[in-house]
Amino acid sequence: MLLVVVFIMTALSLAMILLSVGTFHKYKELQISECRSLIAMHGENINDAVRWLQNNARELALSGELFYRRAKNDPAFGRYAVMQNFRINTLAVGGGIWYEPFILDPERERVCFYAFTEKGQVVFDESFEEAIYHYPSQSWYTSIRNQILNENKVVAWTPPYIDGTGTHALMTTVGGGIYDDKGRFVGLSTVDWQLGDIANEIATVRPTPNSFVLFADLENDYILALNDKHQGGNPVGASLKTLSWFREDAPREGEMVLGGIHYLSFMKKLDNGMLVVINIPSKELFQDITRNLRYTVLTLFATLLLIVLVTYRLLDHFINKPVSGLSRMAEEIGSGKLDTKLEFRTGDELGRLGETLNRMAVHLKEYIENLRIITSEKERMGTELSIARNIQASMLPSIFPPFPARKEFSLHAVMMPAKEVGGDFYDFFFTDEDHLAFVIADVSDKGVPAALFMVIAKTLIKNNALLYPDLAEVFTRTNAQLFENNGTEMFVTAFMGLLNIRTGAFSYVNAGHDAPFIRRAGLGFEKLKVRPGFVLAGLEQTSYQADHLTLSKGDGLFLYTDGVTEAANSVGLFFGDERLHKVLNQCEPAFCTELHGFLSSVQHAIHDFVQGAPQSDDIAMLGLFYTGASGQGAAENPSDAMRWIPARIEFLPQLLEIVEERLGKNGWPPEQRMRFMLATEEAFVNIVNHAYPEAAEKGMAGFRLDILSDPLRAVLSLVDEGIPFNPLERSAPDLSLSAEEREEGGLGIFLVRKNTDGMEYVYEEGRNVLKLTLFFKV
Amino acid sequence: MDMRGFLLKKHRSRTFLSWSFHKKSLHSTDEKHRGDFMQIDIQKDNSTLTLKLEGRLDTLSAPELDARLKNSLEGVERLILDFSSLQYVSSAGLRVILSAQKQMTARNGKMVVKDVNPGVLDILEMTGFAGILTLETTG
Repeated sequence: MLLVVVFIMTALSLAMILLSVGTFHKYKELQISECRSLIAMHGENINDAVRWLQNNARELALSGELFYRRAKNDPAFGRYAVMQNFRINTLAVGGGIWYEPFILDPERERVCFYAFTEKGQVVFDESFEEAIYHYPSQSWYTSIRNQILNENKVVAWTPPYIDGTGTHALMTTVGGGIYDDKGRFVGLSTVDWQLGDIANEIATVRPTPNSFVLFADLENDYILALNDKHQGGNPVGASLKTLSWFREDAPREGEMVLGGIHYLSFMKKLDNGMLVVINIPSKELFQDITRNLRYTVLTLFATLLLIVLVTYRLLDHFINKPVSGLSRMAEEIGSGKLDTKLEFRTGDELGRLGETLNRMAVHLKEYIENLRIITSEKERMGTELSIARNIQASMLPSIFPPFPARKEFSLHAVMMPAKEVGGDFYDFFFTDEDHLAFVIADVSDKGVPAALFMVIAKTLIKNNALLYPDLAEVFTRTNAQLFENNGTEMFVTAFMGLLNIRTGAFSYVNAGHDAPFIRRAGLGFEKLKVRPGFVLAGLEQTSYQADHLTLSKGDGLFLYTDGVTEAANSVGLFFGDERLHKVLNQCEPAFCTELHGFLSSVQHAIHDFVQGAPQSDDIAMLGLFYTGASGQGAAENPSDAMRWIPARIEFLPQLLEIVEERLGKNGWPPEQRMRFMLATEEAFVNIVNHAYPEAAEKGMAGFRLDILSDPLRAVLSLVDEGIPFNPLERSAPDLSLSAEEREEGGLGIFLVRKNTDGMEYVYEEGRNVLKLTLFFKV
Repeated sequence: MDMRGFLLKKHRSRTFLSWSFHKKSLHSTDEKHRGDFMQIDIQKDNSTLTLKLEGRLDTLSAPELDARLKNSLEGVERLILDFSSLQYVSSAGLRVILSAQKQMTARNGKMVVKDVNPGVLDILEMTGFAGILTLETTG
């Protein structure tokens, strides 16, 4: 837009300049023609005078003829003629009639009549007939006579001359011939013209201060007037050849350079062979117009500049400033400064855009503020949930085998909460030396309230179980206590079993929970026949009844919550009782040898079935395998047993505690213990972070600490079933780098290596096994 | 029933800018975890931020320190980590320390680690951290 305006302005001004230049040339022409008129006028004036004087010379000659033919004897006539001539001729200063020697009177050589004017008076001069002034031999007389007789001129001019009679004026004289009736030349008339006057008048002609005029008699090569500074002195009477610039054949108008100045030269030739030249410095001649033109152009430019500036300011104010303001604001909003406010009211589209932007910033700020509050609220909630999850995780017994000293049975359980905290739980504990109690339960809700309710239920069941040997009594009391404190109408389904590990006597009670599967040795899994029972905390007065059977060596139980059977895949199909039954029987071989692997297999089956669909409910499973009182004898050193904990960071303290306690018990000094614990932590964290990349199936980590002798050393075996990873192949970090160059991470394995005396790794049977050795040093 | 495990103890101490956070209180008291415990004292004096760490800076407690630093580093020109009572540091803790050092360098600030005890110093030396941190000992 600005460009367009500038373009138009430039075009306009160019047109104006062209127009003024055109006008300038017109004016120049006008000036030149004025000069032309000037010289023409002066030339004509002189010409007029010249013609007048020539005519007068002829008239006076006619008077001379008249006297010669008719009044020879009357000298008064001659006298009268010359004196009266001044009445008609005011230009002349003298006039006379002169006869050839002895032609009028053979006795008188000279007969003449001459009068002149002096101070306005006409004076008749008789002195010319005197002997001392012999006019026929004077140069003016012979000059005129020769021209008339030899060149057949009617009138003739003398060269200019300085009057010798006293006035010293510059004169010229014109004369005409006097003839008798036979045409014989008998004398001549003269009219004296004082050239000085006219020359002075010409000399005043100065169209510009430094112009000058030449007035000269070309025929006689005689300068009559020259008012040229360059020549200096008084050149009157000098030859034209003394003028370097003058050329007789110069054109009527032309240019010439004199003393570095350019002149326009105008020349006018007169009838009597005189000429007038006017030289005008062209600079001076055109000074006014040049100045005017300059003013015009300057004014134009100034106006143009003004217009451009004004236009620019207007554009700037109405477009550029708002636009740059808008873009600055957009930038600031982009960089997060939402307090920015645009301050302009142009009233046009830009103004509206600015207001919109202002509103947008305000809304954005409000929105971000709201979002921030919501986010921080969510973060807080998330933190609290995560804390709750830690609490819950630490409440469920999670070290397996839980009772390494008891060889009559093996027991393993897993819990996979759907949200951060869940309502499912399992529990197991000895009520006395021989009786193992185990519970699986499902609170009717999920989230924090369910978790709290679960904690209460778990605590009540355990407390009651420790007090009352009858399971029916335990549930009846627990129900009443839960109901009493239940303000939220939550309820719990639960199944509880009590096994005499010595005799295999097994009693169980159910409160609305899914019936567990029982495995009879050699027969596979079957659903256990249970009374349905009513849920805990549902009604104030609910009585429960326990059932009894005996487990034989090789029998077992699988307890689960409905998160297993109701695990749904992406099309909404449930995992279901039948599929679970089938999976249990497929995995049965592991049940007897390794419960942990068995439960993992069931977990995998569920995971494969749902195919990534989000877990909608908590999943808890508990397996119990009864080997009987005469089972394999207890290991000589309990430390041989592999224990399993979930591969989650919150179980790290439990692992560390066991390691430190056992090292401490065996006399390792604190510094050594700290080093080994550091190695243990790093190795375990490595499993937690990398072994099971899919959070949904966070697996287990097994550990075993052996104290071996000769030399005395501790060997910690850490096992996981995740992706194969050999930490020994991990390259050491570059410790020489500066803080800026160092990457955050990669130190874990390095610290394991540096803080142990030996590090072994094998991958066998789908497991990563890492053995860390620490020698006993004092 | 024992509800102590659910309570998150936050108590003010010394100045209103200084507070303590007991991680230990997260765990039920019937199980004792000797090591899983860190306390952070934060004191801010103009542009100097002093963090006194007590206990163990391990995988569990490092996120805590990281979060505290993230929230408090605004406008800090000098960061002092007082390690006089720090017993233990693991790679997760080192990561947070390195991150803090980088942040302070990026803002032309200075970070000083004060009074490191021998056990922790071993680890700092072992990992080359002793060379990139500014370690100071008072008295």
